Amino acid sequence: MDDVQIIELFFARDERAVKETDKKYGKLCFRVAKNFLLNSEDAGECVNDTYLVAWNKIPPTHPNNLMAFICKITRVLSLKRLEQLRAAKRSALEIVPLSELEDILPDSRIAPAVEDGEISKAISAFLRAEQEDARNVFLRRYWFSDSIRDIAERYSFTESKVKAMLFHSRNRLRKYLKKEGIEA
Amino acid sequence: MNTPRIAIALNNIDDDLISAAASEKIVRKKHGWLKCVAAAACLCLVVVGALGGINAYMKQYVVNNRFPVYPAPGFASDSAMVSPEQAECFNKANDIHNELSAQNYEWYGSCYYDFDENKIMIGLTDASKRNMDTVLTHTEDTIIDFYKCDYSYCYLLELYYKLDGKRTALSLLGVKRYNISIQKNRVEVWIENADKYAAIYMISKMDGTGGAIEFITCTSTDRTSRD
Repeated sequence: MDDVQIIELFFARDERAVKETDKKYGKLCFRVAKNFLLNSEDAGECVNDTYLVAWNKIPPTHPNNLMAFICKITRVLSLKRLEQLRAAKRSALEIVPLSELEDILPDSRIAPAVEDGEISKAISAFLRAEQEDARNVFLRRYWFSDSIRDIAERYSFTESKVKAMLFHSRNRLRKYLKKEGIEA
Repeated sequence: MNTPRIAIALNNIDDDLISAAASEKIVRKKHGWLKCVAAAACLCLVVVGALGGINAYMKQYVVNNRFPVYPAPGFASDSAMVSPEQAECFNKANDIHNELSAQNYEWYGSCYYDFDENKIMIGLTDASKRNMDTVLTHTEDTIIDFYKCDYSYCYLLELYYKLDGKRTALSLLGVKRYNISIQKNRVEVWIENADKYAAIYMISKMDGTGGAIEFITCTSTDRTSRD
C-alpha cells in the first residue's frame, strides 16, 4: 500500500492505518529505536508509542513524506526514552554517534539566541551541499545511529573510509555552522 | 552526557534527506567484480603481449644465429649385420671411453668404434703427443686412431647436466629427449619441431662455447636445418 493510501486510512480513522504503517515501516522504526536504546524491549515500546503519536497527529497533520514523519517520531521518542533511562540510572550507556557531535554544538548554553529550527535548516543546507555518499553516511551515523560497521557494509566501504568520511564531514559542519554564526 | 543540541536539531532536518538515507536500495559497488575481471583481462593481455614479444625475440635470435636443426634420421631399410669381431671392438671402445672419461682429462673428447672404417677412434681436443701417450697407457695393445675433436667429454657432460637440471621446463617447451653422442662429439637435443624457438633459445644459451648442441626434430618429415 502506498503512503497516500495509508494517510487516507489515518484520515478515515481506520485502524488499518497503523497495521499498514507497521507493515511498511515497522522494521525501520524498530531499527532506529534499537540503535539508540540498545534494547529490543524498549525499542518495541518506542515503536508502539510511535504509532500512537502518529494516530494522534494525523489528522490534522498531512505528512508529505510519511516515512520521514514516522521515523522522526520514533527518533524523538527514543531520545526521550534514553534520557529517562539515564535519569533513572537504568542505562549508563552513551550513544557513541551523538558523542561524536558533542564538540560541534553541545548544549543550549552555546548559541542561545539561535532557535533549534534555524540550526536544523542550517544543517539541512549543509547536507544538501555535501556529496551524496558523505551525506548519507553522515545521516546513517548521526540520524539513524547506525554503527560504523553497518554503514560500511551498507555502502560497501571499508570502516576506515567511513570513519574518515565522518571526521571530515564533522569538520566541515563545524566550519559551516561557525560561518552561519552558530558556533560552539 | 546529555543529548547534544545538534543531535536534537538533526531531528528536524528536511524529510527528503532522511528518506534518501533510509532508502532500502543499498548502494553496492556494482562493478566490484567487473573491476576484478577487467584487471585480470588486462593482466592476461600484458602477459600474452609480453610472451609474444619474448617469443618474437627468441625467434629472431634463433634465426639470426642459424642454429642447425636436423630432421630425425630414418631407419635403414636393411639392418646392418655386425660381426663378432666388430661387436668385440665396439665393446672395447666403450670400455676405453668409460676408462678415459673417468679420468676427467680436460682434453679427452670421445671414443667410439667406426663400423665403416673398422677402427676405434679417439677424439682429443688437444691432440698433443703427451696427451696421446697418456691415452695409450689406457688402451694397451688395442689399435686405435686419434683425431681432433671439438669438445671435451667433460664439457659435453656438463652441458648434459645443465639440460637435466631444467628437464621439466624443457619438456614443456617441446624437448623430447637429449643425449651425448660420442660419435658426433655433440649433445643431441630432440625437439618436437623446428619452431620450438624458446627451447632452442634456452638451450643454446646454456652452451657457452656455442656449437656443442645439435638439435634434431622428432619426426623426419619436419623441415630441415636452417643452414
